[in-house]
Amino acid sequence: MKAFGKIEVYVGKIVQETKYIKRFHLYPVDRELLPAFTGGSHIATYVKNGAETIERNYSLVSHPTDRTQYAIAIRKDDHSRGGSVYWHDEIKVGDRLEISWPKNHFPLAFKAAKHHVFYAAGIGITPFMTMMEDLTAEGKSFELHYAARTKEDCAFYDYLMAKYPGKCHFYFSRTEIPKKMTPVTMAEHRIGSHVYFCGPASMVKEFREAAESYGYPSYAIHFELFAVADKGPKNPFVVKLTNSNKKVAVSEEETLLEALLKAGVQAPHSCKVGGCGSCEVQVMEGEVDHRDHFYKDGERGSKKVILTCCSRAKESEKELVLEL
Amino acid sequence: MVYSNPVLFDKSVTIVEKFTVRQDCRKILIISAEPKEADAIQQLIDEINGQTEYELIEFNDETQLSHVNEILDQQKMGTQLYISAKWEDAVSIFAAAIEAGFSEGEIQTLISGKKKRYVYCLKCYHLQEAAAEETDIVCDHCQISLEIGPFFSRERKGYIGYPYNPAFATTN
Repeated sequence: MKAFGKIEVYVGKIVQETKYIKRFHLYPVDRELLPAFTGGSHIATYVKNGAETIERNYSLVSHPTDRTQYAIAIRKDDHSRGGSVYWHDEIKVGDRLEISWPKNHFPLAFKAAKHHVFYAAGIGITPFMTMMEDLTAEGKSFELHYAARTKEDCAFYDYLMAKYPGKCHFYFSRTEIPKKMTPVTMAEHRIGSHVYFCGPASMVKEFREAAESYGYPSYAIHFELFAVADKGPKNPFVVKLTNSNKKVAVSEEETLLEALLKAGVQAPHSCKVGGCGSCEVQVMEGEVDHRDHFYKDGERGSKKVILTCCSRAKESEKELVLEL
Repeated sequence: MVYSNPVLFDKSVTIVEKFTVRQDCRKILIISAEPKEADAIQQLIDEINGQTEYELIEFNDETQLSHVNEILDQQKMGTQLYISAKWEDAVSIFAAAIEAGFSEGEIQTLISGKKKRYVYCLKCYHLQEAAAEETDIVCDHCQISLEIGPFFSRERKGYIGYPYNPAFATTN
């Protein structure tokens, strides 16, 4: 078994969880067991669509101790860049694809927390599925707050109700008596609580700000985003690479990382949403428009770095010079 | 109790000369087991100036102090804890606070009187008190000579005492 690289798997089972969410079970092609992983882990999936390879990250939802298969849950998003639509419309049982080894950018604060509180919006439930399994195995205290439009749209509802009685709080916004998940509940969490958010950028921002206002220390606040936060218009710009002596133009429709990969530059990357820091590159000259949620505010000013998956040049007219 | 939990020792980051109010909290909990420090607590309350909710709990004897776990367990996120006590009481209250879920960043400790320093023997693991200025000590339990190292062990709750043979010791 190689320690790095991609793993070939086949789709062994597809389950329609809700109207818009499907669960895909992936089994290894050339090995008995898949690599072990911890709660909150995700994999990158590489699906061939003709000449194009669609690369997307999805949280694992299968039990962390079950190494015979992985499961991922995908919500079909008609406004997406095509990944979820392809998975829903084209992927069939028996199809083969490649996946990465599991990576965890959203780990549990196992030792530090006395109580873990999860806030999920929609498909944001996925990383918490494995986290709750890990906490249950360790006998740790936790609770889940989970918002969906309706009970029918709420993935894993029956499973969660049966497996974690008394620990799950559901909020359905489009029912006869709508119930909204708000940050107010965070004011009541006991000392030693750590909070975890997963959902759209606006939800995560609202809950992070509320947690800070309630006096939660920064190390007790954890979050994962699906996409890069929208931080204003994207201007085209040019980067000059000192190691490869190349110039790469970045259009307004693409990220710096996409432009670099298209130009054949081996740029490091992982989460692609400005959350993990894997794509950090040193900046030799030029000003950066930081759009990540990885660095602390002070670090953005003091470090001469850029996360290529989301951040851009501050001014279109001035080149960014990168050590790459 | 997790073995790597923070413990109070003479150089703990939570030990302060004077309490200071932090602006990023919702509640201030003051636990006082030392009536002599009433002035320091009054200064803190004056500084809070009604801007933040506060609760003052005064313990006058050990029986009352046994309720500290119950009080700490009831606290919510956003609470800052201020401990005013003599060394032994401060160590107990601090340990109860860590067990309840407070982090060192959420605690300030004002020690009344002397802080204590402990050394453990790397040969027999016996823990004993050492004066602040001592660099060497003899283990009370196994009688071996120990050089007091700079490292504090949270697990053993003392500085590491390295055994050595005084016959071969060099003097500077």
